[in-house]
Amino acid sequence: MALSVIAVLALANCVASMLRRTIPGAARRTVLIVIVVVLSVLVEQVLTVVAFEVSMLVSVYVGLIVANSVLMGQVASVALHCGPLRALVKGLWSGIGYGVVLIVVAIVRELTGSGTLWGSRVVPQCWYDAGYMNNNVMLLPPAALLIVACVIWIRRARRKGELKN
Amino acid sequence: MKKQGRIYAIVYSGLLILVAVGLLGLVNQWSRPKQQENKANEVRCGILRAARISADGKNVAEVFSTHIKRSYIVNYHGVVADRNPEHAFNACMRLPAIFKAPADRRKLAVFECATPHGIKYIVPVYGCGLWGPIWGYVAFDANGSTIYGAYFAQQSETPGLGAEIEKAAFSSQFEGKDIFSKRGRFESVVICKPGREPRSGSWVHGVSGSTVTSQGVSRMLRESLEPYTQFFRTLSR
Repeated sequence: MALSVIAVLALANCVASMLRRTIPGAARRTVLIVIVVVLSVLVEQVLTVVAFEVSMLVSVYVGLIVANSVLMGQVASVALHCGPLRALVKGLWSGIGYGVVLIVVAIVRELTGSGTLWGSRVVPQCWYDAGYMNNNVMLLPPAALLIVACVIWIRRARRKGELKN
Repeated sequence: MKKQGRIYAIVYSGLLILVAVGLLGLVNQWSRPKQQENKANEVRCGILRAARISADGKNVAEVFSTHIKRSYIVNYHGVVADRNPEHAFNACMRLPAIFKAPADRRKLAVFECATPHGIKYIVPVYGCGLWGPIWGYVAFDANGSTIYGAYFAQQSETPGLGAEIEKAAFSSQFEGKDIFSKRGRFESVVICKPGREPRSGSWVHGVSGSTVTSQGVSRMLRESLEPYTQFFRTLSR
């Protein structure tokens, strides 16, 4: 999923940047949506060819990349104001950052919700025997929002310290 | 043409959409054969897993052709309606369309699989979970009542909850369960919560924290297996 986001964001930035001088102001948002939708579908199609089992798991979410206002905002704010190469690099970095957050959220949810990492048991059986229980709430969608909020909180707290220095 | 003009915006958007549609069409044409092959392998894997035969993506077609001895389509009355193996397999490739048909007019695919424990009869099942479709394959002993193995799959159930129906811990519970009562009445297998087991009939425990998906599996089994009743009865004779 992280790779899909990186690919879509970097390519969308690059394509939108190449077209930026021709895009009409009245249809700017429509054009950006079309670009991101096309790239999302392309990534989904490629996934079904090269990694069918993965595509079965993430295809629903790849299609929803276009509904992610963070990514759309990134394309609109960066791609339309700089050259294709710079937009591509910025898209790559933003995608990597977004991917890292996705991985952090996934690790926390899997570890606390199932006691596993990448499907392998991490929490020892003796913990369960002693009364430890997996937190099923972490497996529900709202838990991802809570974790993202924590990531933002930590990031802002650290940035506050940097600003003070 | 003025860049800020309305006509420019309409023409530009139209051209962009045409290019987008063309590009997607080309990619679809390029990827379709491989997608179909991947989907076919996934169906083969599912059928084999129901018969407790493991196969990875590379050799699945070979293992499938080795173990599946016959495949055909039966009708609601238990009579073989189509002996073409390809038609039976194609029915599994498009389960949503097949299961839309009324039970008495449905194409009921059957796969005869050679296992170390004899010939098993594998049938597809299809239904609804909490967030989307769920499907699977159930293998039966030659008596047409006892489940030899089951495999379930899903695409959009909650990971760690409803998605656990894919795990062997859930599907292995079905082994040895009968779908007919001792009097020969079709009962299917009921999914229940621990402590709420029915007094009679076959049951298995549902996945903790996924009541709706478990109910979906229960309903899927009942509605998908019921049309096979006559076929299973002919097997038991």
